[in-house]
Amino acid sequence: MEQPIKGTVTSLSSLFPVEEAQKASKRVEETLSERHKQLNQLQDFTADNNYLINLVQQLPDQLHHDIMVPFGKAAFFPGRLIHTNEFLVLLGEGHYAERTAKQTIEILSRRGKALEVQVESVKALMQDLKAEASFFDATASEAAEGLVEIREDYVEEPSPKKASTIGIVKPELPISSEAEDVPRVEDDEYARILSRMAELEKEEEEAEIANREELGGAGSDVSSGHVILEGEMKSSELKEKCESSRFQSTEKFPDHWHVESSKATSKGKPCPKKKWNSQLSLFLSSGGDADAEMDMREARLRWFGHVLRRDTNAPVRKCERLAMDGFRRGRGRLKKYWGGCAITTYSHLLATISYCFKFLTGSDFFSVVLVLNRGSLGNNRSTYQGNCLPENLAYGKFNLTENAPTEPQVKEDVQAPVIAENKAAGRPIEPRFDSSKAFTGSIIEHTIDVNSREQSVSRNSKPVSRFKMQRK
Amino acid sequence: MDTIKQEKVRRFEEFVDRRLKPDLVHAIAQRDKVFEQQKVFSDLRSNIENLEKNSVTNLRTLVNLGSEVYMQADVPDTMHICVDVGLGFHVEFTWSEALNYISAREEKLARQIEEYTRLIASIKAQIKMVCEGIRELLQLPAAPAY
Repeated sequence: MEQPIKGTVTSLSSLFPVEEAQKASKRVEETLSERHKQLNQLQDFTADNNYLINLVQQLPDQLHHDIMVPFGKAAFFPGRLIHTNEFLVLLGEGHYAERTAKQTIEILSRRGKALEVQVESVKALMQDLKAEASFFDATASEAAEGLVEIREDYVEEPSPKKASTIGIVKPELPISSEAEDVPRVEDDEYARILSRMAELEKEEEEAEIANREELGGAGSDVSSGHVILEGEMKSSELKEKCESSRFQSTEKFPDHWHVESSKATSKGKPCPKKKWNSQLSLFLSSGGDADAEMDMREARLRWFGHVLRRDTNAPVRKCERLAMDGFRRGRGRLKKYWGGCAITTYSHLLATISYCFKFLTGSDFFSVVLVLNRGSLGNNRSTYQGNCLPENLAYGKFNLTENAPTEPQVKEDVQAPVIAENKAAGRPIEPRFDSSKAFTGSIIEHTIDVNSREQSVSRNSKPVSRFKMQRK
Repeated sequence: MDTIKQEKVRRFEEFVDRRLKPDLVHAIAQRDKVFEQQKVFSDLRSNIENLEKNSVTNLRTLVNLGSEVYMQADVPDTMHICVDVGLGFHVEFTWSEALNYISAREEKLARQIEEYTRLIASIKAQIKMVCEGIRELLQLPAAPAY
């Protein structure tokens, strides 16, 4: 996906070009001058009104006044005003009323008040326009000076993307032979990729074995894809450093987990993670599923996890990024890619997780969910078609990754053992997996998978928006 | 060459926009004023003729005091009417004198209107000519005649 760039820097002049800002300010100035005219007019009206009130007050003082009676605009007769206490006042809409001087003054004063209100509103408007004009002016000058705007979105969750990439990067030891016979070798290029993959996996295997020796005690490890259960229960007794408590933590698991871990050892699997995966699968099937079902899931997720942990440049991952436009599966092949199968398994898993996390803080869980989905998306596109068949997945590692950068200590929790954390201390932190295009493509390609995943997530309190965030 | 041409075009356009168009607007406004005057005088003439016809000697009317407030006014003698002769002067006429004056005035106003109409037409012609000049400079095809 995209690099975790936290903020954006935009120069103000690119957002608001100087000329545009100046133009806007000019326009506001024009509006302002218009308003000014309006204000002047209103003030004239007010003055006229006041004059008229005076006049109406004085007129009834005498019985009649000698005036020039206008006769049209260009002529008048000498005459006089009579009935000086009778006024005909326009009430509006062509209606006139005969009023006395006193009543007329009342009407006029009411008009005066209305005018004052109008004047006030125009003044307020002008104030706003002035502020706006000054803002535009300031913007124009700032843009001219080359000011930049730095914007950073607030992200409440502890950047799951980063975690997932770290997980992806992890080398792991799955069985390479299975992986190899599964995909059809369609051309030389592909064959080369596969052989290279086998090579790398061999290396990993060696590293894995080396790590296992360390693991007898406290086990840790970075290079081997150390899987840590992570939960956010805050009880301090449950908080333990992952490096020291990998195996201790199993003590807190329900009995059957212990059994499983011992079983793993008894099977003689060299990989230390095997134990975890076994536990994990047990967890998955804790509802009492048959062993076969459990094994199928485990195998599926294990391969999936393995692929996720691989370096982005590893052939397995490269395959994901191969341009698959127009690619069709051969006749008689399964419709689903193995990634799709893994997602279905994930769906089950997610349901369980959401249950476990019901009482825990939401954000942690969501980030986990994000990681899960990310992984599934990333693998949707894989060409290892055969791997969706459980029998082909003799080995696989299921690795859910979560990284909480704000929390240096990784806690373990009995309640939520499913979430594994891949703590890679010596690992490059920056995400190397940037094939976001392949991701989006895969979303389109596997709508059914996406739906199933979303359904599973929708059992949580607010997952959808997270998804969207994840997917963009 | 091109820059000279462009400069010329620019100056022509400036001339049209800054000189001719404001002139045109001004001339039209002036003519409208004259039209208004003409209407005032024709109204006055019809009013006086009305008075004559009905041989009204005294008149009761309503005077607008401002803001649509009216008061009754009485004109005891309508035989003498004061008519605005311009520049703020008013002359007291009898009806017949007033009518004579009004007809003379109307004639003058009509001449003024004619004058303004010519002016407007010439300004329009000049605008058109300059536009044609610009067109020739840019060697654009002739605009359709309308």
